[in-house]
Amino acid sequence: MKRAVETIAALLMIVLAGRVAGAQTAPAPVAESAPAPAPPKPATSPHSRYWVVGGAGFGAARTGCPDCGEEGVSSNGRSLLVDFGFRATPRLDFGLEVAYGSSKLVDNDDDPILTTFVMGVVQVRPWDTRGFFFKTGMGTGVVGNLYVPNGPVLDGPITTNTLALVYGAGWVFRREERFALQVHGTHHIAALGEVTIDANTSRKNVLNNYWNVMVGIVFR
Amino acid sequence: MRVLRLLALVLLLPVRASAQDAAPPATSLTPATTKLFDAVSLSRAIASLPAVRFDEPHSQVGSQTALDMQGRACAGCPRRNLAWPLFDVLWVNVMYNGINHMRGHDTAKVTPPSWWNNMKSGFEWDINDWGTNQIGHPYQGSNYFTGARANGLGFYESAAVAAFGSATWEFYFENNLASFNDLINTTLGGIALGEVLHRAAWMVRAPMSEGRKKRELIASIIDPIGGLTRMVNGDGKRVADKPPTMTPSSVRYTMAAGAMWQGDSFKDVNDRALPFVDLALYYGTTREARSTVPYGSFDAVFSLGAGVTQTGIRGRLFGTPFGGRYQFNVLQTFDFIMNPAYDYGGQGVDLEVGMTRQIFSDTTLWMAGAGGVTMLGAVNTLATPPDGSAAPPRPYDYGPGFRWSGFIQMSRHTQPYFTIAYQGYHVAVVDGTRSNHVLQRLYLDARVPVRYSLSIGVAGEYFFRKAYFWPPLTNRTDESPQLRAYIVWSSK
Repeated sequence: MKRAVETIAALLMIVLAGRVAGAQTAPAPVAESAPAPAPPKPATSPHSRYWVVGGAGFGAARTGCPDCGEEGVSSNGRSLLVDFGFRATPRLDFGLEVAYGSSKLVDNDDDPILTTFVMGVVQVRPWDTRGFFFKTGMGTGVVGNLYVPNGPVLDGPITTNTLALVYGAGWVFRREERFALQVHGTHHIAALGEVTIDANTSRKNVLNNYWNVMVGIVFR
Repeated sequence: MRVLRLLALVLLLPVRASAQDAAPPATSLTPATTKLFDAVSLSRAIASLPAVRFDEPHSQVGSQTALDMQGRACAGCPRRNLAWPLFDVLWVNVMYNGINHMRGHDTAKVTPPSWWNNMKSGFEWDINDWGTNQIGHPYQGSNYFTGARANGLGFYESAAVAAFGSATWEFYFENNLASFNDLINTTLGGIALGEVLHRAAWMVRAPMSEGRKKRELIASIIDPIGGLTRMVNGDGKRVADKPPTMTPSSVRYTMAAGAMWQGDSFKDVNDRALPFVDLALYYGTTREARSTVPYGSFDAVFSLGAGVTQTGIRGRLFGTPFGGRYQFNVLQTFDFIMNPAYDYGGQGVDLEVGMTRQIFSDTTLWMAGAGGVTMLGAVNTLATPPDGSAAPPRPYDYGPGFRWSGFIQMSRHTQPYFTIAYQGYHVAVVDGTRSNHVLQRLYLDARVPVRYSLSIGVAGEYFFRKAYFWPPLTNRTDESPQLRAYIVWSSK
């Protein structure tokens, strides 16, 4: 009997001790006392900080001004683009963009209006693990062979410098690879200012808009 | 008897288990003592207790939990959220559209056809008044920007949100064609003004102090969208240290008030004195140290007066010392200047090289030269067109250009007492009458300490504008001297 009591007491001791010890050593609720974790390390690319994008696509353009017709002058065309720059942070790129657009009016056999943009650009990736990005930039543009098809006849095609701005968004597929594919849409704006039509006529505040959808190869 | 001993052991076990699970001491323990209340045991027991002061607000810093810290760069930093800034953009746009509705603006009546029309037409220039375009839109842009900052986005990410907010406003919340000048003014002006307001609000906030609620309220007046965001997401009640990047290395501010006299030329000075008030904030110092924190230091000057005003922000985006005593800075600039010779407003970027020299034991000399570009500047059109034609529908023109400046300042114990500054702006008009405007300002200022932090000062300024027009229009020159006498209070 005495031995049985001792055995029961020993078992009780083991059970209680285990329960108590379990309670003591169980991990505390994370929300209460776990120390703050170190911020996660951003995904880093094994490749160079520098990148180059070359691409081509299609676009539409519209020229407008306060004195122009409400519809403005619209055209379809092709575009080329070369971007290069460096990755400042995992979410931020700085670079230079050279974009070229050839805008040809529908139902018109004249030569296309040619525009070249040279701009500083900033690309931001809200998620450093995903391919989505948006970008914006400013710089200058050169509009060549400019004419006004449905307006007064120009003395001759005009080449003029412009204030230029771009913004857009896109997605990079296989973003961690050395070669990646990029799809993006952009809106380029070129402020031409005052365009002289002839000796007595001018159009003030002329502004060109270019919408492009492009596919590019990213190399880094 | 043996049973009783075992039961006593069971009852005592939790205590022993607890003692065993305690965190290991940082220092080596002294040999175990068999006494329960001896000096060593007591000191060891007390040492592990945190020093709690019930007369001070509690700190959460030591007990930030994993869940609580998720998405935060630091204990006092806002939680990073990408969706809320976009929602902020939406409701801010709805709010301003509603305000325009109440003001009876036809442009506020937006419909899906107006959206489509705007989207297919793209951007054009608008003809809004000077104040709306040069101050109103930057302020609106600052709302988008500070909303993003309060949701944990970085400076450049918030800049993108400001651009997004500006573009969506132009396309979908006004029924007139999207305005190119508004897109730039709202975005760039919003970034400059927004970061200044964001940091100014953080200067006021003291989340660890007893008066934090009152301070949070004042900060919300400075940065309403940021304050509202913090109120909604609970950060306003959060007790934690300020984000480290929101504490400047130094802060100095000045308030000046006095009278000024202006003229159309040196020979034609108006004898009527005009009152003015100047407020200046020097957040950190742009004159030293390496920094990659945008607006980790900036200068902001707000000058108000009778028909004359000058507001300028120079925020450092990047800075580094070089060559021992030289400093290189990249600065974002925001200018709003009105004087009899010219009105100018614009956003730009300056590259600055400066140097500090100790010329006397307590006097330093700062010399700097800067040059850069103005992304978009506005300059008032001449009131009477040179060719006598009708005045344009909007009395100012837009264009990009260059900017350049020189600065020499002598300071005693960080308080400037003699300053010579020169600033030039160029605007190549692309919206308005084709022309090039060259705007210049020469500024001399001398101050004498009077008592405590008060000084009296005099300043002479000379504003000069030359406008170059394409033929058949002729060039034009405008000038205006200005003399100011004032009393100024400076913080130490």
